[in-house]
Amino acid sequence: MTRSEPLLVAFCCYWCAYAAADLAGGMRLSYPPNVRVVEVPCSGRVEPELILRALNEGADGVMVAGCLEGDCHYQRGNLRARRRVERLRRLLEELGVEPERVEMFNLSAAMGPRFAQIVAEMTERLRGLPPRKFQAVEEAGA
Amino acid sequence: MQAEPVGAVLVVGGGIAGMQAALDLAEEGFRVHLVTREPSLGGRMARLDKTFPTNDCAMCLLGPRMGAVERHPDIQVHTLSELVALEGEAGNFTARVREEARRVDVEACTNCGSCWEKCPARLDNAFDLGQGKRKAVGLFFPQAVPAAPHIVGERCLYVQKGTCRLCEEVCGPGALRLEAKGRETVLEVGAVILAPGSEAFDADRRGEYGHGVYRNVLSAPELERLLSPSGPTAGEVRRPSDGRVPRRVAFISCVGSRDAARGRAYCSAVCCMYTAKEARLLLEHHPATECTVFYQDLRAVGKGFDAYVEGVRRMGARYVRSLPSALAEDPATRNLSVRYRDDAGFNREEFDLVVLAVGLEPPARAGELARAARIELDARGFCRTDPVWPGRTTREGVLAAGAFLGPRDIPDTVASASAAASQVARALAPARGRLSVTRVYPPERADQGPARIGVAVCRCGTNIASVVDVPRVAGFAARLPGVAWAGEVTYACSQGSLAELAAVVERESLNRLVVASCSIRTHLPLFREAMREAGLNPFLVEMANIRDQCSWVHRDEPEAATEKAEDLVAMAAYKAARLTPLATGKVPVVKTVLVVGAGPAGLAAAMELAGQGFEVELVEREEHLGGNLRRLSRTAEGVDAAALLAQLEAQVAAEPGIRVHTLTQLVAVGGSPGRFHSTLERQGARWEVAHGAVVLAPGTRELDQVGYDHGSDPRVLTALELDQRLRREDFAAGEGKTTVLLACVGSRQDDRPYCSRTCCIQGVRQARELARRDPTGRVYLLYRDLRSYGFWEEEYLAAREEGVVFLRFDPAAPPRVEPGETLTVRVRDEIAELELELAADRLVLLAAAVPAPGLAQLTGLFRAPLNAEGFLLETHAKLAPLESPAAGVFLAGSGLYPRTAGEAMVQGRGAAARAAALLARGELPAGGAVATVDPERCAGCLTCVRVCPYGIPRMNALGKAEIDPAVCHGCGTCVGDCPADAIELGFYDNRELRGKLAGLTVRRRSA
Amino acid sequence: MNWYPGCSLEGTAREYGASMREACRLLGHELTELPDWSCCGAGVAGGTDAVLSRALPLRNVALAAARGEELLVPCAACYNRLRRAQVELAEGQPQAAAAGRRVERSTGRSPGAPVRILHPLQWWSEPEVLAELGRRAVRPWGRLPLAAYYGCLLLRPAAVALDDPEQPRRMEAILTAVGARPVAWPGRTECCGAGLGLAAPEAVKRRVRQLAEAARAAGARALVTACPMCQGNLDAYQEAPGLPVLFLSEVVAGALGADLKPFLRRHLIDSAEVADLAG
Repeated sequence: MTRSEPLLVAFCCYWCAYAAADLAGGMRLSYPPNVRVVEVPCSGRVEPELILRALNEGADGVMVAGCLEGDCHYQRGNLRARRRVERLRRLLEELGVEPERVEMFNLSAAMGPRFAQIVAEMTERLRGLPPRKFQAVEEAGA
Repeated sequence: MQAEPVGAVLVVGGGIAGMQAALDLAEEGFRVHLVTREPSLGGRMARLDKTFPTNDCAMCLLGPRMGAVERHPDIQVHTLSELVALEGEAGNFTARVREEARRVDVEACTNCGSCWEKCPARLDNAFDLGQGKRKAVGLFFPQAVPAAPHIVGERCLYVQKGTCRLCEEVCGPGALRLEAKGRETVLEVGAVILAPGSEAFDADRRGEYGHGVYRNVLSAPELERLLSPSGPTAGEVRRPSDGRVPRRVAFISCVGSRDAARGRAYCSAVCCMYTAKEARLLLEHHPATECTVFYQDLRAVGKGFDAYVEGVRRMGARYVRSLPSALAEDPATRNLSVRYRDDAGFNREEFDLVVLAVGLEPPARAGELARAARIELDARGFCRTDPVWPGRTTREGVLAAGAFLGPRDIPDTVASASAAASQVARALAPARGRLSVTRVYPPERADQGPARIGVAVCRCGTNIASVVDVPRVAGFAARLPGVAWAGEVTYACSQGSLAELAAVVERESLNRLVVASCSIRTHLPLFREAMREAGLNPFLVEMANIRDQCSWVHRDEPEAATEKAEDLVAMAAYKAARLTPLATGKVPVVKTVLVVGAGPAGLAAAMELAGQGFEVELVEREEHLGGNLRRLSRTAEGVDAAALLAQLEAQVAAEPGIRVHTLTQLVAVGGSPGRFHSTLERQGARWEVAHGAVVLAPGTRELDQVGYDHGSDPRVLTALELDQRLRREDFAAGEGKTTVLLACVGSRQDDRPYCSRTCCIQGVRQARELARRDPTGRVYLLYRDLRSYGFWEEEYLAAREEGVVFLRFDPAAPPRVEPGETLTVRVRDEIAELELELAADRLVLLAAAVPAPGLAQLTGLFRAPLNAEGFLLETHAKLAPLESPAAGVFLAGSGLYPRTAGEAMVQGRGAAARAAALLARGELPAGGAVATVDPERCAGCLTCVRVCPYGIPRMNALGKAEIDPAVCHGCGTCVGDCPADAIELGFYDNRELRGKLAGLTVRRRSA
Repeated sequence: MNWYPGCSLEGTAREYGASMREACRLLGHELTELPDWSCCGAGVAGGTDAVLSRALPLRNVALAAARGEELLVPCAACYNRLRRAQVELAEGQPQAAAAGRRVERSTGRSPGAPVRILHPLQWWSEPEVLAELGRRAVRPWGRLPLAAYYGCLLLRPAAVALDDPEQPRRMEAILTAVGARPVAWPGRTECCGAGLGLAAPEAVKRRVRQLAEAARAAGARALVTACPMCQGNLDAYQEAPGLPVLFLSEVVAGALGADLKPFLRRHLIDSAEVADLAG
């Protein structure tokens, strides 16, 4: 990835998003190579601190991908995740960071093409944003 | 049967069916002797490049199975072996097995390759169907299991002439046994499963296509070997005559199938699909290839099959509905010229390469096997079996599975193997566990000292290596902090690699492992198991997905893909450095299974489970048992449905272990796999049942909105309505009426793109029945593709001979029906190219099968997913067709995809086997990647108690939250919400995830 | 050896008959004509009467069986009819059975008695005979490229086929044994147009043109056939300059030392050039 290409971190739930990403591979679809997947059992595992850390470590954007609403493998982890993502976006805005750098998406394990589409969308969006100026406070002993 | 039966089973056949049956039975506590004539496990599937419709690489799926079979302490594999006699009776058989000399000691051999490097005898490689060369000593194929060479006696200079012996000289460990002789072993077993597979039709027999004479005519299996990255041309398809890449490729369907003149009147069921797959693979390799498929009826009758073929057509494959009668070879160019007829008239086209879709025939030496096992074959040479109990042979205690029963695809093969295993487990139930060996792992080493990480970067044949620069990634990995060793492997999941990794762990004193290969969903359990066998805690291995999520999706950007792979490896290594061992305990399971749905699949599953000693709660929401069996006159297999149902009901009633609940629905589910507790409701009353697993067999309904004035015009019936009338013997007898059956009503259309699979075969049966009852009447069947797959093709032929008129129409111009004194059906017959007007007295709509109403609610209770069309979604289409990704949930019958009653029952038995394998040991592992509260940090705020979807966290006496590791699902929702960061999730705790994120830019910063 | 020339070898395909006799003589076999043989009915009788069309060939089978173990039948049509009737009789086909009874009544001989109906293509491709041809060839063909043309009647239906109907090999084996070089070409088993010469001559011309073009494209200097109908069509309907069409017996006789001019004089297409290439 050259300096100009954005880095996108995708927190993907094992049951839906990660499976959809695998399916996109099985279908030999193509999407931009800017994304790095971090798998979690449920999107509900993703807390704001992890998203901020991702941005801190160099990501230009973060997507949180979970099951379709109502279909979360663990009942409603994805709903918890969405609430946290929404709150974080408001917080980022107050801090002068573009909230559109962070977004939550919902998809099912069968939606390989949708995964590819989401990655392409987010990547394109991040390309259109000015270079990051955001730097969180380093936490000692992490 | 006298005393207790012997708790051991003989499985003949080392292909996917034999291996599945062996694993199921070993898991259920039986000793298994797996006998194969070949030098390695794998069977037909090992010869494939990719499988339809998932495009998975066949060896990627098969490799772990082969490894699991070889490693399992309760399975003994006998290669190069054949059953020669089977004495005794069910429960107590004596099997004589003759083993040919391998002439190599498998234990001593290290698979180094020196022997075949030096061997002077070159011969055609039989595995590659003669398209490459091998030596007299060598591996059967690169991923062979056992991973040791064998000697082809007919071509070995020592065996034939007593000379040479070079291999012996160069063998370091001294593993050659040139003097070895064949020997006979006697095995005492309680039951036998025959799964010898099938053979490909010899394409030479269709002389008009010139296979064996014209250089550029290949059979499909030959092309498969060329496509395979481990094949003779490393995956590059070249024309045999001149080595050029073929530009224009023709596929000819039905070679050796639907061919009564050559004694192969049946349809081989899989060729339409494998042809689409091969066309797709050629197009993937070289998108400019012009692929033309010549066919008769497109038999895409399985789940996702129609969509798959559509996808291949969109990629550019051209489908021509016409079978060429012959090929002519141009002697100068060696191109093949095809003359065929389509709508425009006669055409002649030239092709660079022609591929023949050869059918499946009975396996080689089927006659010898049948004689040895004393079972009968049918007139076609396949195993004679029972339509209601497919898998039973003519000898009690001997079952059959897979293609030996007739051509079928991999999911149906796997289902039939599990079904056979279930029936064997039932028969041998008293002897369960008697002969099984308790698996002993080496003691787990204490985790001390700094992390020493090993990184294995997998090439996955060429799946990864053709895009990602694997050596570079391995080199990069070696420089990462904490990495003590980094290396490349060809197939990380293969037996050889796993053994290598274990050796490296030992040698380099590694305590963490990173495997950069495919998906965690494919192989994480495999690598965790490998860790246990290496004496390490299974939670100390992390995977980086550089295939499904990298090489497969960035094929045009190899540099970016390589950079991404390096990043993913760095992230995995950073996480691995922070992993800590996690303890797992055992939790007792409830040996009861909840079976939802009492159609043929549910009934079959219930009986199998009860027969194996499990308790069964059989839940049915209708008033009576039977499902669609109540509405049919005969099943597709020709069995009287009412009689079959009566038999099944009687059998269920006679089983004390089955509690039947009709007019009952499932309303709530709690607990976890092994310890579910569900709430049932019947007419307002509710009660709870405890169960360890569940089998979902919800079935399908016939589409009710079918159009054509159905409902208002009494002359218009659906297929099931016709069948209900056919239950009366006098219906339609001698009336002299005209019946028109219309196929594909509601199927294969925009809003319901799938094929309902059973309508063509049931329609043919109904047409024959009407023709028989009403000899002066007329019966027409209007179709798009006549999908009488497998042996049902013979029914279709019989129907035509009996005077049923079959008319093919173009879906773009479907038949129009005008009601009047008669129903005037206007249709254009595509074959005769005539506009016809039929005066029908009766119109029968072969309507679509749709998922049962309320299915989404039912599956929601278990979080079991549905696919895009609303059917139950299985974990893996090919190798786990009867399991849901939701643990403890098994699937069977039409609820997965429309099925005949016979097929549904096989699946029911197969699902029973899988459920039994889960519960047989009486306990399940618990703990591991679950949430734990640190009481020091816990503030007692009750947030976790409120947010947990399962209500698991409890406050203890000290006012701190506690989470029971036996029931925690490990989702991490509580972790995300805890304001004090007091909860950690095993394998996904904050340190580990932060570490992973820290690995994101290692590469960039070091560049 | 008893042989059955049939009508065409005495008429339009006289050179086939003559070269057969010569080739056999050079191989050490004298041919004795089957006494009192009659027309086999060829393609015509089948359209007239189902029993008669079987009785005509069976009459000759009965006579042959009474005289010896084998009957050499060089004409492909006669071979097809005699062999087919023999097979049908053995299988109990009703019209063949009726024909057989009629033949027995009229000749006093049994048409079911065993006799091997043999075509030169079968006989000359037997391994010992191939070896014999090789030994006795005094003027082998010097690897002259020739296109083996089987036509239909020797290969169909399956019951009478004397070689693989789609990928036959016998004629190539014989041509190789006498020193020629049979070429691979796509027309080997394609129909020449058969008896349509009168009813649809354009159809025959088209078939013949395609065959000749294909043989030429494969590098052949001549077509070789073992059927008088095929030879007749190919010889008569090609456009000038035509590719010579030789009888298998002419090729064999030439290799064994016979002077081919008397036979080739009767061909329509000038084949003298090819004849000179023998030896």
